[in-house]
Amino acid sequence: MTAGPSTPLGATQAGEPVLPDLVVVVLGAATLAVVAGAGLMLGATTVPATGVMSALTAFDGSAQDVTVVDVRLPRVVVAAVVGASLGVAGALMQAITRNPLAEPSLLGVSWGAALAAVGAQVVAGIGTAAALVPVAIGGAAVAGLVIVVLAASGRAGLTPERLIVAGAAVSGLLAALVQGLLVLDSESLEVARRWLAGSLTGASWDALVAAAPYLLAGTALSACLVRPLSALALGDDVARGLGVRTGLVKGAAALAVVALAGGSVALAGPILLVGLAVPHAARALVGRDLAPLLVACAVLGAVLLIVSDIVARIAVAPEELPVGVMTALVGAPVLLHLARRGVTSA
Amino acid sequence: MLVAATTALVISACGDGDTTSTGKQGDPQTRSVVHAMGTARIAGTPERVVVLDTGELDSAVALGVKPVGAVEPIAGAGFPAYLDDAVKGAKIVGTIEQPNIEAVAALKPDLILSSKLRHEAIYDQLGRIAPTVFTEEVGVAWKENFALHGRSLGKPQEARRLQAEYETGASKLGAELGEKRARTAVSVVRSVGDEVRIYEKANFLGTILEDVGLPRPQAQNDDEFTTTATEERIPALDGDVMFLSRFGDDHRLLGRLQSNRLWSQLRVVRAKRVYEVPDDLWFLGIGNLAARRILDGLRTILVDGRRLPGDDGNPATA
Amino acid sequence: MISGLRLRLLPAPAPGAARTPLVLVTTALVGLATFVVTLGLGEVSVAPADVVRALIGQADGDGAFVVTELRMPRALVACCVGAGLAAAGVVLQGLTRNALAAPELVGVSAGAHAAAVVVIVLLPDLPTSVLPACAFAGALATSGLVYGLSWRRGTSGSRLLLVGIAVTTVGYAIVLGVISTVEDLIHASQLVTFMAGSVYGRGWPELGAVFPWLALLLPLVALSIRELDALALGDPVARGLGVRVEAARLRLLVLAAGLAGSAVAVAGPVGFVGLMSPHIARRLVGGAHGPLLATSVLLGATIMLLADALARLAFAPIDVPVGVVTAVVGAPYLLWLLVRGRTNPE
Repeated sequence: MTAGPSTPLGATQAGEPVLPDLVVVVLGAATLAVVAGAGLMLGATTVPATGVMSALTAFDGSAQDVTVVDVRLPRVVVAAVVGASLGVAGALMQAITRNPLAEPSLLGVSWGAALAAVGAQVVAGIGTAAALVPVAIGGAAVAGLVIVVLAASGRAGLTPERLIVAGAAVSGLLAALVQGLLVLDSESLEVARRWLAGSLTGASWDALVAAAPYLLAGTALSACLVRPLSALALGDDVARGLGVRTGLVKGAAALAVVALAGGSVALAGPILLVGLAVPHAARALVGRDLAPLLVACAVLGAVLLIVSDIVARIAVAPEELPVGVMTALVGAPVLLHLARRGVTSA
Repeated sequence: MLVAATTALVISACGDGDTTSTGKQGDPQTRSVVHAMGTARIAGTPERVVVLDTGELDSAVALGVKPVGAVEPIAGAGFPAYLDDAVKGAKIVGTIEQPNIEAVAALKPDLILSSKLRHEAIYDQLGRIAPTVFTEEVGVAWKENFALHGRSLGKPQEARRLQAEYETGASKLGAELGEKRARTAVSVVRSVGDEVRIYEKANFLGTILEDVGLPRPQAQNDDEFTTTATEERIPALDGDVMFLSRFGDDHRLLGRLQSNRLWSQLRVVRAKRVYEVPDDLWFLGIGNLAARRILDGLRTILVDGRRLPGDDGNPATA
Repeated sequence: MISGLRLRLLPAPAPGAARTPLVLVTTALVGLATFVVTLGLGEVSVAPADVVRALIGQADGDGAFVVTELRMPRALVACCVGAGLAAAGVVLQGLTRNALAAPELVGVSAGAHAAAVVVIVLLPDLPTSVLPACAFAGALATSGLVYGLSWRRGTSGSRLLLVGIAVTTVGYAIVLGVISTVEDLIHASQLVTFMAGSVYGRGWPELGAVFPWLALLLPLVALSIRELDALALGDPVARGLGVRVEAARLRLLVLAAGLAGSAVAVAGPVGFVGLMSPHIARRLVGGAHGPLLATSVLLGATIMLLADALARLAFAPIDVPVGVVTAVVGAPYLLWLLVRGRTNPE
């Protein structure tokens, strides 16, 4: 297993970010604001910007205002939160596995959460958001545990490669099981679409509040792990030399991933490939330094998901596409680009 | 009789590719029934009938035939409740989506009824078991389908009589409502699990409403089957009267729609004219018997001004 | 030398070679017995002796009708699907020298599935017999893509798997997107069932669609056995043995795409058969591709027969999609492989 960081993607050879930090921050915030605004304006009906402003500041109970505040606002916020969480989770997974192709839906964590949630809904009839969140987190945790145990078993021990193989295999299994459950007990296609690709239909404040503690915990944990993970990127041995408890750090990062991915799945289903595309783009903008990278992942993830949701809402209006379809279509070219550039695993 | 049947059926025989025949040949008692996927040779009045959809089930019961086998809409649902005793004892042979072909064969039927839309893929296998008659589609074409079922079951005149009874009933109801109709735009909303559907004109209930002369709200006035309701489209649910129905469990989206402010602002909600209707009769029945009973329900609600049993006037409860 | 998940497929040592005829005969007999017994199970029970009589045309009556008209075509389709997927698995594993290269894990099935669904939706009147050709085209596209993207002087096992799963995810998102645009709810839910992999209602037309492909491609694979054996020894050695390595790989890839594509066109993306059959076969007869191919094909057919019997009977009269059964059985097998380290070099 070769150690050491690979050439940063898209950044200069020396690994420095392309743009100064401040510019990136401002651009990021501005993009987020614009995109969120678009999310409030666009939909089955188009609300002009002035209408959005008045709905937010001087709510008057009209149909338009209710649409903006009751229907679209929670949806945009949930999209932002889920996108940010998945972006960060993707970055963490790629840091742990030292492989740019690792992300929650590819490595089984999202599917574990989805299976638990679908199982709870279909078998036990549990439907409320508040109840589903811990179920999904539990599912993600179990899937993660299974993956780690499997990857660590055998003589070779836990290497990033074995982790990826275990994750991919578990992901295939769990996805098949989710499909099976849905086929056996599907009254409507909406349930199927939500749990097979991810969907933001019906995003609500209740659900967000229920998921918030886990997402916040995951975020906080990620923030604490920035320094040790950066050391880890130099290789396990080097990191140990620097006094980093590698096992503990990886475990904590895995916990953060479980919290972030599990909470996201509870809110919106297993949205595909967000954690893949976002860290890559973030790296191109801000370089590999983990602290700015995580922030950039959060912002970019939020932007990506809001935009995907807008497209999902208007592409075949009045019907809606599952948002996961959009993110997969975005993730596809990123994937191709990544693989073509021949980024080797460490 | 054969000539009349054949000429009348040429209209409903739309499928052009398949001219397979099912059933025994040469028996002087058999008649040929042309249908969407070919020709069936049926002897006399079939007594062991298997039906693979709810419309067919309704037709059989309406014509006084108890099927030996029928499918349930989804696993575990059982037969539509409005039929109760009329179908007690019929064997469940799977679901609409996937009938168990072996179970059908095990019943040794002498007639199988279904539609090309649902079961085209298994037509060949069914045809080998018994004479099989397929309508082209389901739902909006229920009247032609009923006529075809009547001919298949050997009761064409009874079918015509019942259909005339429905038509008379519909115009009578329309006449009773008279000018009120213009102010009674009917919104049709159905919650199917986690999905809420707005029913437009091209469906079973839509044709009944049209026959009575009841207008539809503008958002529901197209020649479409259904559209999906989302929180943003709540205004499209409005009307003078709303018929609301639920299929299956877990109506989370409906709950969310109803707790949305936009819902309580709907004209029909404020006027307290949201009526809960039994799903099995109004949406699953899709046949002559259900249609006639729906007319009774419409009379109760729109003429007598009462609610149906089971409708407590509180739309938030199932 | 890149460590990771390579399976060195050496020609079988002498003991294995001696065992081969015995294994082949036994497997064939087991397969035949399974065929006969499963044809007797269902709503109407038929004793094995009567099944045989029905098959040779010497019985009449309801039992015989059910056996020959209803169950037999379906069972034969299941056999062809199992055989095709198993053969595709053997070829893919040989050509990538990777134990985890199965059609559904490296994107081959996904391409076939996406192509089939697109064609079904856009051209609903297309006869069944043409569908395998369309699926073949789709399988070829994705397998070429995955192969091209992950081949870097030998596939790193994890990269192949990750790219494969990522491509599968995208193909799957495309399918979901297409299903979401289908206006007819009935057809949409039929497509969702197709996604899980099913042989419900498959009869003579479907057999006529898939069998010619099998009949054509299996012999072609058989003709390539020497090349597969040579490739297993590594590129330099293979070239030394006179094999045109790149041309051979390309040809083998086309064969695998055809085998998997025709199977998927008829039954949807049934998982794990293409993975399990070669693995089990290898443990029985060793890695020489002649015996391996024959044994895998027989095993694949037998596994599908068993899985479909289970699918028909487990929740009768409800018909579980056979892909769910293979997933429930196959995935733990894959995980067990990981635990036992059988994906590592000995």
